[in-house]
Amino acid sequence: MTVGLGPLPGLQTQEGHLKRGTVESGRPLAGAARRRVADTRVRSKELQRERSTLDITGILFFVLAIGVVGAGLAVVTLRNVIHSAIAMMVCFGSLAGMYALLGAPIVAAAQVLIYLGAISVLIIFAIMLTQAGDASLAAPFHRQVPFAALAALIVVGLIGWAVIQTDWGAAAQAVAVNLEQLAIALFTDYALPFEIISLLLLAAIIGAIFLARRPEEDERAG
Amino acid sequence: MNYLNDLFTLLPEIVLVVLVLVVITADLFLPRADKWMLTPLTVFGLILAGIACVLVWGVNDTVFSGFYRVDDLSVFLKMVTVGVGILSALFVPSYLRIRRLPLGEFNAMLLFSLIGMCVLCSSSDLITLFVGLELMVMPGYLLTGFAKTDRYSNEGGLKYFLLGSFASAILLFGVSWTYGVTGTTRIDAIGQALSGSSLNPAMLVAVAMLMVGATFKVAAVPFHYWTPDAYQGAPTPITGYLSVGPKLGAFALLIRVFAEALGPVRADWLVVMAILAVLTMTGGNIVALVQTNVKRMLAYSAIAHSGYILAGLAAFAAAGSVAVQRESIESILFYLAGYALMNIAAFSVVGMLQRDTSRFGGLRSFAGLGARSPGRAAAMAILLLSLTGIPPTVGFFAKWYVLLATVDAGLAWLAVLIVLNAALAAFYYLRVIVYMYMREPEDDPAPIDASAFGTVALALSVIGVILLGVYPGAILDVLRASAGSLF
Repeated sequence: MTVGLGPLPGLQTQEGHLKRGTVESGRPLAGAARRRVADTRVRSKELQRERSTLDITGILFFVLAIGVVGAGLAVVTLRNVIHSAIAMMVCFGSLAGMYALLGAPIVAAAQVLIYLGAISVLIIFAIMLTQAGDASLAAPFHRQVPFAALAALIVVGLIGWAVIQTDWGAAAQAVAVNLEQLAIALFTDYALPFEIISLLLLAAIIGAIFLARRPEEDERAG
Repeated sequence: MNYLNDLFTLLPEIVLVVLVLVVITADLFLPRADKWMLTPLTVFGLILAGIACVLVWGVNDTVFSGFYRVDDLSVFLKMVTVGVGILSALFVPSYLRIRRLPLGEFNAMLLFSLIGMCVLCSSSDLITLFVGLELMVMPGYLLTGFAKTDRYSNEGGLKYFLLGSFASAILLFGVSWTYGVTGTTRIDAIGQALSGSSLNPAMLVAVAMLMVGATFKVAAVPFHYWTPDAYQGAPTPITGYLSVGPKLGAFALLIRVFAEALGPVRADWLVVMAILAVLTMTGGNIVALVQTNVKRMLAYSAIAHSGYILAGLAAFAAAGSVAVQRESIESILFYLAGYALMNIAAFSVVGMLQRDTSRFGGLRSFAGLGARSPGRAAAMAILLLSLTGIPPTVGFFAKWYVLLATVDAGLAWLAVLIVLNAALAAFYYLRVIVYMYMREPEDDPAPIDASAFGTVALALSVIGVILLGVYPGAILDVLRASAGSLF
C-alpha cells in the first residue's frame, strides 16, 4: 500500500526502504494525477509521453473533481438540511476517490471509514433527532452573499496563482509508505502527539456529557 | 532514546494529567456538601505542578523524537500557566455556586485547558502545536457556554466555537502548506529550510494563513469579532481566565511559529505584524471608550493589550541584532506575566459584584464601592491603574519594556502610538475609579460576593501586581534565561 504524503519526519531514517517518485517506478497513474492536482497546466514533453495513461486518470480526476466541487456547492446552497447532508456524503466520497487516485489508499480508506462511515451517519442522526417541523429555512445570511462570493473568489484566485507560480520540487513527489511503517511511526515517534489527542478526546467527552445533561441533573451533581 | 529522561522532562504535564483524573474521580464520590473541597485539591495539585516546573528548569532538551522542546522559555510560560490556573481555580467557585453550576466539570475543563497551554508552549513540531492548541481552546468553548440556561452564555459559546474552529482550520491549512513547501513539520527544520532564500508564493499563502489563524486566537483586530460576545457571555471570572489563558497560549504559538520557524523570513511579515499591532491596540481602545458595561469594556481593553504584545513581536521582526531580539522576546514574556495577573483579577472583581444574578457588571454597580467595600475598591483601583500603565505597578513596567524594545528595534513610530494609546486607555480605566470613589451608591447597591477563596486570590494578584511593579528585577534573570533559550 502507498500513502501519497511527502517524507514523514519520523520516517526519514527509513528512506532506504521507501519507493520514491512513483512516476519513475512503474506507477504512472499516481504520478500523473499528482501533477494534475498541482495543476501546472504546462504541457511538458514528459506529460505528453504519458498521454495514453493520462487520459484515464484525467477523466477520473475530472469526474471526482466535479463531484467534490459540485457537491460542496450543493451543501451550502441547498435549503433542505437533509439534502445538504447527502450532498456532503457525495463530497466526502469523491474526495476519498481522489486520494485513491493519488496513490494514497490508506488515506482513502480512512476517509471512507471516518467521514463517510461515521461522521455522515452521525450528522444525519443528529438532524433526525433534533429537527422539528419543516426543515427548509430561508438562508439567514442573504445580504452578505455578494460580498462572501467576492471574498471567496479573491481567495481562490490568490491560492490558484500561488499554486501555479510555485516550484513544488520534491514536495510534489509521492512517497510510498506501507501500513506497517505508518503504524510503527504512529506508536513510536508520534507517540506523544497521539497521547495528547487521547486527552483531547477525554476533554471532549466530558464536555459533551456536561452540555447534553439536563440542568436539573447539573444541580444534583453540583 | 532514554524514555525515563524524556518522561522526567514532562513532569509538569504529568502532574496536571494525574490531577485532572483525580479531580474527575473525586467529583464522582464527594457528597454535594463537600464539593468545595475540589478547589483546595485543584490548587494543591497546581502548586505541585509549579514545583515540577522548577525541577525541569534549565533542562533545555528536545525530547520525544523531536516533537517536544522543554526549554527555559516553555518552562517560564508553564509557570505563568500554573499561576493563571491557581487564580482561576480560586476566583470561579463562588460565582458558580450562586448560579448552581457544577464545580467538578469546571475544574476538569480548566485543567485540560492548562495542559493544552503547556503542550503549546513546548511544541517543537507543528503537529504537537496544533494538538496542544485544540486541547487549550476546546475546553474554552465549553467554559464560555458554561451557564447552559443563560442565553448570553449560549450565544457567546456558540460564536466562540464556530469562529474558533474556523480559525483553527485556517491555521491547519497554513500548516499543511508549510509542509508542502518545506517538506517538514519540525519547527527548527522549517527555519533552516526557509533561511537564505526569499519566500515563494506558496509559502506566502502559508504565512498568511498561519498569521490569520494565530492572530485570531489572540483576538487581534480585524479578527476580533468573536471576543466581546464570548467574553461578555461567559461567566465573569471564567472570562478572566479566557482573556488570559488562551491568549498566553496563543502568544506562545506566535513565538514558536513566527519567531522560531518563520524567524529567518521575519522581514516579510514585519509590516503585517506592525499594522496588526496598531489596528489592535487602537481599535480595542476606541471601542472600549464608549462602553458603559465594565465587563464589556474590559473585553475590549483585553483586545488592546494584545496589540501592545503584538508590538513586541513586531520589534522582534525589526530588530537588527540578536540582543534586541532577545530584549523584545523578554518584553513579550514580561507583558504576558503581568497582564495575566492584572486582567484575571480585574474580571473577578466585576464577578464579585454579580452576586445578584440579574446584574451584568454595569458601570453603575461600581458607584460608591469605595465606601461600601474599601478593600475591594482599593484592589480594583490598583488593578485599573496597572492596566493603564501607571507606576509603581506591573502594568507600567510591562509597557515600558515593550516601548524600550520597539525603540531599540528602530520602530519609534510604533512606540509613539503605544504611548498615545495608553493615554487614550487611561480615560476609560480611570472612569471606573471615579465611579468607585466620587459617586454616591445606587439606591439598591449591588450585593458583594465575599467568598474566602476569591478574597485570597484577589489579595495574591494585587500583591503580585505591586511587587513586580516595584521590584521587576525579581524575575529579570528568569526572563533573560527564558528568552535566551530561543537563540
